Amino acid sequence: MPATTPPQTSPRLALAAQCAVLALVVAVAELAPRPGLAALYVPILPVQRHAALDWALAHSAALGGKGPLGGMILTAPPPGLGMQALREGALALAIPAFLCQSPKARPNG
Amino acid sequence: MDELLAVRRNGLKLLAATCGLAVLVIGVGTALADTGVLPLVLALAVGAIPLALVLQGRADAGTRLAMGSAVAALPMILLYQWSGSAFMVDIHMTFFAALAMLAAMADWRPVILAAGLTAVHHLLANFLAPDIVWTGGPAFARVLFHAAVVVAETGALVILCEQVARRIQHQAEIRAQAERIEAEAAEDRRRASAEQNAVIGAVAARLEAMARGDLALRIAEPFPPAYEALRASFNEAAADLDGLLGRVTSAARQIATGSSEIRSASDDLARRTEAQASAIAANSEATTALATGIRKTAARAEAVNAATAEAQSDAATGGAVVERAIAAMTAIEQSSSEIAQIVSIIDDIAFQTNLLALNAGVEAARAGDASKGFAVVANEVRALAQRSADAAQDIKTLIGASSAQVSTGVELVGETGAVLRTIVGRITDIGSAISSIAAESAGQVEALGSVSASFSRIDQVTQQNAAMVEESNAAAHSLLREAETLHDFVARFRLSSEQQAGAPMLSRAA
Repeated sequence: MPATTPPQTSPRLALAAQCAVLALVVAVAELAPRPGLAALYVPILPVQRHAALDWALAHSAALGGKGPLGGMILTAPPPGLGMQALREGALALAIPAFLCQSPKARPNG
Repeated sequence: MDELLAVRRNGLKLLAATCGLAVLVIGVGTALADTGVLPLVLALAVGAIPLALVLQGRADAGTRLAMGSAVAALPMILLYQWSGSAFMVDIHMTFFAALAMLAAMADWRPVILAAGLTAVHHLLANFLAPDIVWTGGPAFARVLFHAAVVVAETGALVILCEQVARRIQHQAEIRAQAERIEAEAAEDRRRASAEQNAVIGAVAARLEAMARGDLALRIAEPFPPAYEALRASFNEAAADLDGLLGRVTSAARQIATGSSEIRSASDDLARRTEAQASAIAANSEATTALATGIRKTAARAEAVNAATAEAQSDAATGGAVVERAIAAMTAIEQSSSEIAQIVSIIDDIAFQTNLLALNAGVEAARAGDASKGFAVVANEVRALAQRSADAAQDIKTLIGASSAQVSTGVELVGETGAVLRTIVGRITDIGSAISSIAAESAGQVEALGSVSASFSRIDQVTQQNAAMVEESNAAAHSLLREAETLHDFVARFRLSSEQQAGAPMLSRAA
């Protein structure tokens, strides 16, 4: 979550911050969990209890197995999983359809 | 450049408002879509920096690029927010709309950046999350198609932005050039005004001095090149005026001198003309009187001629009378002779009567007393006869004397006739002479009339001359006064020829 540039910030610094925000936006837009797509839940910070994962499982999500580089694959992730995961120090990434072998994966649109 | 910056600043404000509107739409969509508040957070994050920069009033290239990236990112966020819904195809239009709106900044770089971001987003999404851009799975051909459309739009927008920017720059350059020219013109005007003020001040000072009558002043300090001709012209004009008034002063003096001489001469001429007019008037009167006298003489000569003619006629008549007197004298002489004869007869008769009376007395005496009365008558007859004889004798004597006197008278009358003839001849000569005198007098009268007319004309001309001399005299006096006035007038001018050594306030003519 980038902070807004303070007044009188130099253009170069502001542009760099904007580039970071853009990268984040593109990344989030491309990789944020979306309804109907499987999500990869990747803990970033060491936590003792994955409340977000519990919350997702409590909201109709299902464990689909472990990710290839670690983390958990969730099918039918609920809306808001990304924000919940960030609060828990984890990332929730949407899994592209062509990487997903689950028969449940269906194109949206 | 200020115009282009202002256009871009306005475009930034428009895009900032659009960003705000898009954030608001995304905020509303948070409640409707299944993606939660993350799209709203992303929208706020991506729009924060550009909005802050715009609120700072900045419009530099970084701000424009930041705004371009934000405008390009908002459709991505919107597309992410509504992924999986039926609005995805419609939301794709916002990419093109956003790309087109970037042209409001009149800068091709944000357009290229936005197009690049869109291309990257679509390419990545095509492989990583095709569901957020396409329906029906990945389709590289569709990516290429969309890319072609975006490239075409981008190219048009780049050209448009560049043309707008160039046009604005061109107009700004033209305006700047116009302002520079105006500034240069203003500087030229200010400089020209200063030069004009200096020139006007210098000329005004000289003109004031000139108005005070000082014509010796010249403008010595050099003028700006544009007004140097004015200084030269002023100095030339002042020099000309100086010289002219110098000549006028000299001429005024000469005119005054000449006018004085003319006035003296005119006075003399007036006096002489007056005397001439008087003399001519006297001559004219004398000529008139002479003509009148000659005319009277001629009239008298005519009268004398007439009288002479009458005298001639009377003389002729006298001659005739003399002739008749001679004839009458001759007749008287004859009558005297006849009277003498008659007297002789009467004397004879008286003698015989005396004889008879004597006889009668003798006889009466003889007759006695009876015849005494007769004797008395006879005595008386005899006395009468005697007185008759005496009277006859006296008459005879008188007649003799008368005859002698008649003869003498005849002779005298003859002589008188001769004298009268001589007188008639003389009177004829005198008449001829008097006629000649009268004719000559008439000619003299005519000549004197011509002389009198000439004198009248001369008098008239002299009178006119006198009047002209009077006018000339008055004109000479007036000319003298005017010359003196002119001299006094030009005396107020101070000329270079009269310049004296001193400390002049202004430069003087050399």
